[in-house]
Amino acid sequence: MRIHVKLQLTFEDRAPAGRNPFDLELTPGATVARALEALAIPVSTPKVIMVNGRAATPDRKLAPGDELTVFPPIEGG
Amino acid sequence: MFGWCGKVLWVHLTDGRIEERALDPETARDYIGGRGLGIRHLLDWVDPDTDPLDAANDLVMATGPLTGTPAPTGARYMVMTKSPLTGALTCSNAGGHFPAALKKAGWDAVVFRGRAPEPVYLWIDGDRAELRRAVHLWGRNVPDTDDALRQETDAAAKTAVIGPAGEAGVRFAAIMNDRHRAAGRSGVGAVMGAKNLKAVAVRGRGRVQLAHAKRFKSLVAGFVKGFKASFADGPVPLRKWGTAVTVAGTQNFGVFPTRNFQTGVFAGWEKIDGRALTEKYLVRAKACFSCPIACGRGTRIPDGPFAGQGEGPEYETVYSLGSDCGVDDLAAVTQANYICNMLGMDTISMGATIACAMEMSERGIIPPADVGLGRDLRFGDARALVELTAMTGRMEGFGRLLAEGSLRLAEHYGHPRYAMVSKGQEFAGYDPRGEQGMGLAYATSPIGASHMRGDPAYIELLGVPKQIDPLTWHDKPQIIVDWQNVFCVIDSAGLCVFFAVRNYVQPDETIRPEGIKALLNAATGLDYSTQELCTAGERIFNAERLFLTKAGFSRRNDSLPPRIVSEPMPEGPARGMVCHLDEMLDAYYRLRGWDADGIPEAAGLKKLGLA
Ligand code: SF4
Repeated sequence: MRIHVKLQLTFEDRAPAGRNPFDLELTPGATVARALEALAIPVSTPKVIMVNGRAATPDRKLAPGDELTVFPPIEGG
Repeated sequence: MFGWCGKVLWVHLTDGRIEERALDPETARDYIGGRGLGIRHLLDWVDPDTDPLDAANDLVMATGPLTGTPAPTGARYMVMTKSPLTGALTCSNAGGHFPAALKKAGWDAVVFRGRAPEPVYLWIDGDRAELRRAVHLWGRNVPDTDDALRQETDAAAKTAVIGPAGEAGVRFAAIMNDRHRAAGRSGVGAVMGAKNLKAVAVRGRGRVQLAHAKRFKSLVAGFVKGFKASFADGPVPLRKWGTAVTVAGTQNFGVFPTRNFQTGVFAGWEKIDGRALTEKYLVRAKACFSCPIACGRGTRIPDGPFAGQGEGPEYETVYSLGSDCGVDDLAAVTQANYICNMLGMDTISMGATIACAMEMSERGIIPPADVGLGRDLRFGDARALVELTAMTGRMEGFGRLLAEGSLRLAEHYGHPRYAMVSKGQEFAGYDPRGEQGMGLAYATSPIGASHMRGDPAYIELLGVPKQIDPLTWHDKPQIIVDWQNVFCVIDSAGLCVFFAVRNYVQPDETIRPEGIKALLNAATGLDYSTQELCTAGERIFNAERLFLTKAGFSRRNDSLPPRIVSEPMPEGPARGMVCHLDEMLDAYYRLRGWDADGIPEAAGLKKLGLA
């Protein structure tokens, strides 16, 4: 299945050169953790994960067409 | 005493008397410092019904036991008084170098009472303090005043001053220290102006005495090391992009306030976010005293109609003067920020008040002739943004009405619903419809809408110390109670929230202040338990509530505008949501031990030593 991925700020360098947002091919039923692994983002790296505009955790199951956004924790505003 | 200096400077402006008073050790232990000392003073000495601009209102500048120490971000002080914007309290916090200098001069706090017969400033050189005439400084802007003061006193002096806005009584006038740092909110600058107090200049030559210096040093090394390790494989977002990097989080979650909170997504967000600022205008990152983060922005607009140089904008300013006004011209936002800094005004209330005027103009409520720009006032008008900001700081034309803040402006035109305020203070840059906990935090903050008195944006939007769902509300009352209490501890110890929420607390929603406990005990020689510190936070928060209750505040003041509780968010990730304030309030009051009307019950107050 194909999902859409947007990597922001400190995670931008994990995106394919010149493309961000981009599409990612995963086996059906894959979780966010699986997607992160495919993107070489360690699960242990602090981050905010969103799926379709809602906060999500690594064990969240993805569906075709889902929009995954990852950005780093931000300490203030 | 250790950590604390043990001395408070009392300045009687009416007759010019200055006295040194000892800091009572028990009060210090129970109220820690900063915000805690401030509210204890106001409860003891100021009638809650006092008119904020009357001589009978006191203004307290208070540091904490960790201010001026090598503790990372031990940079902060708190300005507490009754607010001319809201009639409630102020808790206006600032960093920079002035607070540490005050501490190094040997003072935990300065209390200003009465009103000087003519403009004066206070010069503190270590132990010695004197009031000097400031007639020649009256009317000068912030940097000019800072220059003049350092020329007249000591080139190394640090200053906290008001600009023309504070002198003229703009209801959201700020106190600016180190030129660019603001004790910004709730009109503390107008209280200084009403007291005829133009400035404080201080030279601190000593050092803060620590009870266990060696232990303190190794704790500091540990926190710095932990901080560096957590960013080992990437930049520190706040240092690299400044606080405006937060736009990414608020836009992602659809809570980036746009056109006076008519929506939560802003099409031009990438033109005004932290990356745009860094790439276009950043000159250098600037740090407050003893801060490893350096989120401050030295910036320069090289050319164009908004050319200039200064510091900022922060995230809150990018929201208030940017998206909230529909302006995606970063140069205009930055220039309007410079004007606020020069004239001494809170950028949040300034922008939000202009946004309110823009909406009422577009709806035909404010006639173009009243605004006097020679054209209709509409969202997105970058030139109007800059012009109206300057007119407000100088109290010219329509600026006189803007200087009253958005609630009085909207009431003047008969439509208070368009003021995005709580207790009369303008919202920070988070729409509570898509961030439920923030709605409860705005409504119950002792200063009116504020993101800094228990900031749930960290845990709801920004993943610090972890990430939870911003759209749920049943889980938020307990989180807000805990966070408000611990923020009282951070604010009273003299630390910066930006560092504290990631490095000094437990990494979950309980936000237990373990790191602060370790530092406070090493600094003061006391033996606080984590629970005692949380209780001190609870005491401080309830003391503030007690003051408000005596001033006539209750549940009806813990409110949000109709737009937020009854108009669903029209688009974006938070589409369809309203803020479920009433449901959260009932649970929140129960957790607080307050009655259904939001009044603290006697038993709870007694337990905290407040009755
Ligand atoms: S994080 Fe920013 S505001 Fe806080 S102390 Fe450091 S430079 Fe100052």
